[in-house]
Amino acid sequence: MLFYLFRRIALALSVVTATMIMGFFLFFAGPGDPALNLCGDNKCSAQRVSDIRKSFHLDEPVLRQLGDYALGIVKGREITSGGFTRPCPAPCLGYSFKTDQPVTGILLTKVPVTLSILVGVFILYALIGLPTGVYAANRRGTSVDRLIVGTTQTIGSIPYFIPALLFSLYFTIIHTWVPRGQYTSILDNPVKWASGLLAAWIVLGIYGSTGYTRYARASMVEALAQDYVRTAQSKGISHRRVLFKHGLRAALSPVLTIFGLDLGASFGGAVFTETIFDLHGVGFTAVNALSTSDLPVILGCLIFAAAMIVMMNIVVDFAYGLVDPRVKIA
Amino acid sequence: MRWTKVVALSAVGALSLAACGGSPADNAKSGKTTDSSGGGPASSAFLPDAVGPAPAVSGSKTGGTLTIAYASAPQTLDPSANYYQDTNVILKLTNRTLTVFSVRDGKSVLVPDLATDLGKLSADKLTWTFKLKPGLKYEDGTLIKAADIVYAVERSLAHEELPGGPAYQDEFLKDGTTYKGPYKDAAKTFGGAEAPDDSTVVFHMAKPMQSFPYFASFSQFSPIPKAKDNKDQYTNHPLASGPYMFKSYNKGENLTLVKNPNWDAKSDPARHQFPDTILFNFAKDPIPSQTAILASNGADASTLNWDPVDASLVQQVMPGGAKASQLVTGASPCVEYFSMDTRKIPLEVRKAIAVAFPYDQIRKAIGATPLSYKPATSISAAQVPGMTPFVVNGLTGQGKGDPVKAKAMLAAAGKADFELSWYYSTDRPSSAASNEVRKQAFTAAGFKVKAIGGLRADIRKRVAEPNAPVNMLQGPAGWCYDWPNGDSIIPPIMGSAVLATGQSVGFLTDKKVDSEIARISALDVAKQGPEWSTLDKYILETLLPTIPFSYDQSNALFGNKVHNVVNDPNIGLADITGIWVDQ
Repeated sequence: MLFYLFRRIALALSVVTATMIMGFFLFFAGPGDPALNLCGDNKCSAQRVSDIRKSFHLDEPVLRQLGDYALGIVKGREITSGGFTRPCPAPCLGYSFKTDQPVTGILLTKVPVTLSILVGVFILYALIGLPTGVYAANRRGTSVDRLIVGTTQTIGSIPYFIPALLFSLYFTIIHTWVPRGQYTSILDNPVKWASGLLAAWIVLGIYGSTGYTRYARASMVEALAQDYVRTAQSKGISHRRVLFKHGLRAALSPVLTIFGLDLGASFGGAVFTETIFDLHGVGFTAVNALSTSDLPVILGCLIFAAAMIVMMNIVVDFAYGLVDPRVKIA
Repeated sequence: MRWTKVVALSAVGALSLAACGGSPADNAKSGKTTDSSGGGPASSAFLPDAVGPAPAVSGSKTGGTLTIAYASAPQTLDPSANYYQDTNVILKLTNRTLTVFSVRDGKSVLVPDLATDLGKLSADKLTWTFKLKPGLKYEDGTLIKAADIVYAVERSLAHEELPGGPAYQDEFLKDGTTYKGPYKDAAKTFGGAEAPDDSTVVFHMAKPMQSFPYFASFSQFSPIPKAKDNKDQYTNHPLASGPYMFKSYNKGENLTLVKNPNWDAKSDPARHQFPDTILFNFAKDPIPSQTAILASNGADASTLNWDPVDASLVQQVMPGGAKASQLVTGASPCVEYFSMDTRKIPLEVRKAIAVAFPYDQIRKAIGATPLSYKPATSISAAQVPGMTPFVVNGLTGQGKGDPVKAKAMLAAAGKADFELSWYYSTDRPSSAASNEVRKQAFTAAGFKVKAIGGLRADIRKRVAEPNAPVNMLQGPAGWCYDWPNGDSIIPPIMGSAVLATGQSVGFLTDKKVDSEIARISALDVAKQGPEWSTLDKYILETLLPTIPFSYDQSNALFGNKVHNVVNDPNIGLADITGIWVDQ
């Protein structure tokens, strides 16, 4: 088991490293120019642009920049920008070209925002999506089942940003029935934390639950069709016990996989929600950094998102063994 | 002023800023948006005898929190490195300078700030002397000294360590081109400024600069004690001398200002201290922000936004609209142009281009609203003192163009099928849309058109090349003056000296223009205005290097608890220093 864990961690690190390298080269292959972005339109002299590039070490060979960056993550480094030298302790993800703040610090302020959104949303997935799917599977073929499936498909077919924008506009701005989106640290004020996230939780929670409803239903239907379930039923075990003890446990595995991967991916990708509800998390920060060619922030967000995905992969694999006794981790 | 100063204010394209006319207090009562025409009387003058306190604002109350929410975020709040208008507004609240603009009755006038007057010029025009008002303090209670201003100016020359600021001090102050700032040249003496005593600042010029009193209103002239200079960290909390001081600053996110207890209202002719707190929220999506302000629920009622009003909200805030009282509009220092390379396009062809130019169609394509522009007829913004409105060569700044007449003009000049070429950004919707309109209009007028598309970052480099293989739209797409005088407009973009810098509009190399620039620049500032106006007209009438497109207008949208919102036409943003809020 321990060997398996080490093997998975090593694999995860190689994936994150490969992502970092790819991101680095893609940035330089693309059309963005941080120096020009900082200069604005047309107004910097060629010398000025050159000075800015030099201050960000963008005039150095790409491989050297990559090497310095990678080493900084492991050992930390000193970053010289203009005439000033600043320390950047490990894991050093550099300083933002635009805001001149350490990227590690930026991520430390943005991750709690994204995490706060996801905590509420995934609780709603579990509370709404899973039971609804199980219920539909249990009533398979009935009008209730058709209603649930039809509703989830209808909701799921509408692009997310439409209900999100409409909800934000009519429920939080024009009529303040739900508090406006804003982030307050849970440590500062738990009530304000929850109320500022409520709108995002409601919209994304309900919207995303539709997918989990369908996953859970499909998985449950398959599980209930298994021989061992039929055996349990023929032995006279109560339907409730068959459903939850035998059926659900087996049905949970695929749902858990999706749950874990979805959670990992969401850390870097809740862009619409963060933008619409004015919650400046990792996704919002990454998109902003892309528009200004802020390489250190782009890479920092990319590495973070990749790390979360691979980490959740590992967690899900281990959780499999706990949930499904047929699976042995080795 | 660089076009970048304007672009930095809005992430959504053309900036519009507002000038106001009439009493701001009337705005809320009458339901009218205030608006001044793009032209009209001089909107800035010298008021050397102005003394504090600033003129009273009727009905004003102290207290409460004013929130300013807008789309972009300041790159730096270091006074030495600042060159953006939104940052100017912020630093005007916290950092006093030698002189300052004060908005009075809709006009922006230059008044003494830290100094007792607008400076004394020596007979040889190479020395400016300012005396400081006595007893002025920083937020920590220490006295402001002349040496602090000298240090601040020296620090503004450290372009490598503190990039981004203007370069006038390099060009006009003695030693400006050789002195590299107090970090690199600590052992050197800077000959451009000295403080013979604690209350006197003397500037030694490398060449005359009649507009120096205007320049002295820049944040680079706000005092910085050398002992308090923490270099690249100074941006996080510049030492305040104005009515407000930094309480907290999260770069890119928000800034909170609170009252500075050591600010002396009686010494300040330009500012007030009404709200207890002023909160700046950066990087806010303008559409929900503006929608919320118009709804004026909760904190939105005491919020102001100065991004261009979104087209979806325009009807609500136009005169007669339900929310018209929540908008102030007016002039900005910015004018947009469509430039033609005078080296490659003959004058007769340039005149035909002007006749064919599809102003209205371009505005429709880029989504310009009536709040965001006024038709431009001159190179200089209309409110610059001394500007006399004129229309030459049919440059009315509006209309659909006349392709038939243009075609005839081309034929008469023997230039039928003359090729026009330009760059445009394919990844910028407004650029792509505008490009299509121009292509159609000029093709209908008998031109051959070659539009070269590219990604924005690439196009930016190309339009700055003086010898690019195109003949239109090179150089700056507009110009915002640094101060309301023609020497901040014509020389930086029309003189032959700027040909190789990527800043030339039309690539003029006209001897008369150059000699007029030199002659007018040497005149007393009070006499320069009409001369620049005459030169502006001459350039457009005789040389036609560019088609003036729009005088940008500014918008300030505010909640129904915000009062006394007035526009500063020299900044192109609301003047925050006199705003008060209901609690």
